[in-house]
Amino acid sequence: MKKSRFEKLIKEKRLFLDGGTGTMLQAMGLKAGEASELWCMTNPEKITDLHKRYYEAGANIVPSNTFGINCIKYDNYEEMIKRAVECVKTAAKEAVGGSNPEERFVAMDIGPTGMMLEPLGSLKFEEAVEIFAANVRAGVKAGADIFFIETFNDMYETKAAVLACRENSDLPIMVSNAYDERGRLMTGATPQAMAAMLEGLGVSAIGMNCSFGPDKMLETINDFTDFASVPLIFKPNAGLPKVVDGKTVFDVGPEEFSQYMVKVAEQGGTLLGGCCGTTPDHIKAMVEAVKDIPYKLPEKKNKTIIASYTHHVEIGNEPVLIGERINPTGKKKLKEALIAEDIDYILGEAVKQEENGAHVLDVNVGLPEIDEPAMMERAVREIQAVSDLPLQIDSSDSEALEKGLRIYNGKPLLNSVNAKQAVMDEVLPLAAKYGAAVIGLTIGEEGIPETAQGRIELAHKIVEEAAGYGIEKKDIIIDPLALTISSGQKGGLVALEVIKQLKKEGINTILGVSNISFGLPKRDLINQVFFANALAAGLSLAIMNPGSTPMMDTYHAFKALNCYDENCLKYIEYAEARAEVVETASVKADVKQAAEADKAALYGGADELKTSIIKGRTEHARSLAAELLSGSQANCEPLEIINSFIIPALNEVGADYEAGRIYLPQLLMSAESANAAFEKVKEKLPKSEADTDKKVIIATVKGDVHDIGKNIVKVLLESYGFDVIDLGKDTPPEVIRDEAVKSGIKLVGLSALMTTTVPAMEETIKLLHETDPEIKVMVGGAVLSPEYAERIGADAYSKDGMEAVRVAEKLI
Amino acid sequence: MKIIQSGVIEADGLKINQRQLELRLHLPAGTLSKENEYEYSDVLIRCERTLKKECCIRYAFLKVEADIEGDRSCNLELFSIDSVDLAKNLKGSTGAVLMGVTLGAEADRLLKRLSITSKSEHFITDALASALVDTAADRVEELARNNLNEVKSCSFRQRYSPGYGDCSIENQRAFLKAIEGEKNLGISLNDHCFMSPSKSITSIMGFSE
Repeated sequence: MKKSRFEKLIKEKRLFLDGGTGTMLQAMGLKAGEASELWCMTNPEKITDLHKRYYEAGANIVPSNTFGINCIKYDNYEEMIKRAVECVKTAAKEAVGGSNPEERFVAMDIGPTGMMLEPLGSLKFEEAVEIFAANVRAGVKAGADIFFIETFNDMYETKAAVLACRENSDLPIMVSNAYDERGRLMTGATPQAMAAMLEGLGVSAIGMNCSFGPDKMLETINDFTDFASVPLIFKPNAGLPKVVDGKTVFDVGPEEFSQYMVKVAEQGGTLLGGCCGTTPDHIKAMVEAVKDIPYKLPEKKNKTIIASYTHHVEIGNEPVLIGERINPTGKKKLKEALIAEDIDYILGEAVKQEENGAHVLDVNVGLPEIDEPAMMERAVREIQAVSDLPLQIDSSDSEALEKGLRIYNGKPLLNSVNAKQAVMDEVLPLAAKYGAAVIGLTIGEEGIPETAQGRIELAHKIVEEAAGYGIEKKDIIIDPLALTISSGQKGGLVALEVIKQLKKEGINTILGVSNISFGLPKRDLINQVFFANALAAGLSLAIMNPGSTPMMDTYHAFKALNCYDENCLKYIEYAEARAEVVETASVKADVKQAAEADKAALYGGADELKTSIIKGRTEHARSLAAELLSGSQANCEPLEIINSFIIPALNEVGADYEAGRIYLPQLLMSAESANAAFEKVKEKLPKSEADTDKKVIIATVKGDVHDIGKNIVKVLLESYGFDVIDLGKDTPPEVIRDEAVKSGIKLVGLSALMTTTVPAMEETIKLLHETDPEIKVMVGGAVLSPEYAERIGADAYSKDGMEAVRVAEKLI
Repeated sequence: MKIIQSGVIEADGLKINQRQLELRLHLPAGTLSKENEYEYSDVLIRCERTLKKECCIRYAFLKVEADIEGDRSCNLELFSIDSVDLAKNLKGSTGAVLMGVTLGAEADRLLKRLSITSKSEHFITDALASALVDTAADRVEELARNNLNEVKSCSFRQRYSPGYGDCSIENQRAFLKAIEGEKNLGISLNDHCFMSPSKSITSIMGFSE
């Protein structure tokens, strides 16, 4: 009842929140460093009195003094929350004057945990959800009317708190974040990205509080009003604190504050209050000052937006490119990487596509041999650590979809649902719960209709069904399906017709472009022309390979020709970068020509490879190795390249390093160049020769998050032909033991930088030796010495990366 | 109520301390000022440019009273630290500046990304980031000194960080609470009291008027 009254009221009239709590309590006697939330237990009458003063000043919504309470800080958090909510309830009943008693609400305030979530910090997403869930359950029990999630400066933690509210109550949720001078959250999110995610998650009102005064807040207000469709919260500080006559005061008084808030109201603020330094006098002055300003609910926006943890991507204006490379269909290397859980390969693909110009990344890890839901969760989590592009969570397994959507930090794109009833019943609730935009494939109970009209009807069916789950038309993107013209020549025309028709209806479309040429020679030719046609027909998103030059040429030319690229600046930038690539290619061609001309020139190229490795020119070394292998007249044998050029180059660099003639940066760059050349050569080696017995597991031990030393060792070992399984940092002993057992590898390298983590190293060594006495453990790290290594049971110690290679070769 | 000064430092305005950088790159003193035989100078410049573009340097500092009792009890008004080494450092101080500075989550993300794409650039950028945050801490120290000297002439002690000597790293919790590290800097601690973002420095600088 109160819920519906609140939801109705915030859309009909301006409501007011309270002002500062901490600063008021300090004025009431809270000592510096004392936790204000404890006053709910020790001074409930003072807390109640403060809440009452805010209601009497005109506030409708007063949050409880629970900002700093959670189950990890206080064992008695439930009791504390109960008492704190009780204080607000009492105040709402007893306050005289001020806001209309019928329009007073008790908000349960939820503050951040104080810990950073993975991957930047150590708190797991689900742990964060559970911490907030405990608060939410206590708040519901205590009788709160709404939840007020406030002053969070991280998008991911905000999502965890919102999900906790949604999964443990049906009360309305208000979210107000603390933005910095750049107009972003500390971890990078813009107001637009936050609005996209929070509206998707069904939050009733969004906005900003704290950080700065109302003058600065006015500068950011349009970022909300231009994007959001829900009521908007603004709770600025009373300016900045300063010392006057030995007392700390804030520099914006009630009158000045209220004048600023008039502007905030005029520009679209619908839920107004104050934060640090504001007092009941500020709130009273504000309520009076804005009373004649007409209420204005933000206009309903019809924008299709997806977002990552830093920025949003709008769909429907200029075409959006989705990188297709993280999808194992037809990609042998990715399949192998998924089976081997080689996450670095996947991350490398993510970064490469971003660098090539993708706006969004498709993530599909579906293989029958693996646990797809677990891999989806891992892939999404890890990709988010290296790329800030929005992700398209792609699976036909609803469990994998949910894992990906849940762990995703932002507003995701879900791929996909289709028009089969069972699929819609399964997938649409997920899209609704996690606030995703969703791709609808035009596949019905009878399969894919041959005609454009048939596919359009299925598109309408999906849109209608989605509406039943509260998913708006703007968040449905239809895939008309590009069927290869090799089996039905009208496949392209039908897809283009659907795109044109749906464009007229304001429905966005998407295509996996390269399907069109399946089974045909010179596929790039067909793909390129079809892509141009689809863009001209109004295609909103293309799933494609951003590493394909013809496709990117088409995209940039299309944008320039269709006025999506002001003054063709991006086209010019792209064309210039292309020219550089062409130049490099011509250098390569020269090398090839020389190689093919005579053996001497070939060895000139090979010598150049050695020089490239020594000088650490990674890309050059990679290209040269490829050229040497593919010379049509006198190409080098793979083993010859390794033994005659790569290894001697490495030995020369290693000797220079050990003699102090070169230093660690050069050594690493050379090793990396050798790795690049080695990878190329390996592609041509027969499998029996490519497989190596030189295998090693490396890890930084539990509790230690420093991995620079371990990474150096890894790159050097790889350059000397070792297969390295890198378990990362902060690795529990059991994980290392399990990997050794699973892989059968008998050599383990452990690293530790902190004295406090050496016991974990000792524990790991003991566990490995107990498990299999044949396992040899080599150790290194700033706090270790040969003697100490021996004392903790290690089989060998190495002082640096180069020595680690020598030691590993001996132990193997 | 204590006033915490906080803000943002433009990375481009900071000249990274070259000796600090040499130490972190394992280079002998003076290497970076010489013409180098290999091509890593270009890489260094490129990595520095990227790091400075990506990171967001935030700082916060706060003046507290300092009262050193006996040989180990350091009362810093908002919290106390039990440490012989810190007590020695603060000896004679009447106050202390609690300061924090960070390169932000953006720097951690860049490092993670480089750890995938190029181990050598990762190593170099990690060294640059460590040296940059150290240089930024010098700038914050200068800001704090100027701020205090506006009122009275002070003499300052060397900066001292929780985790050094016998000063337990556990003190980071109280320290970050005092400077409102999460709100002002976006710094949080893990179970082992390591800071996130990782390229962050907290320190205590004693002073006497």
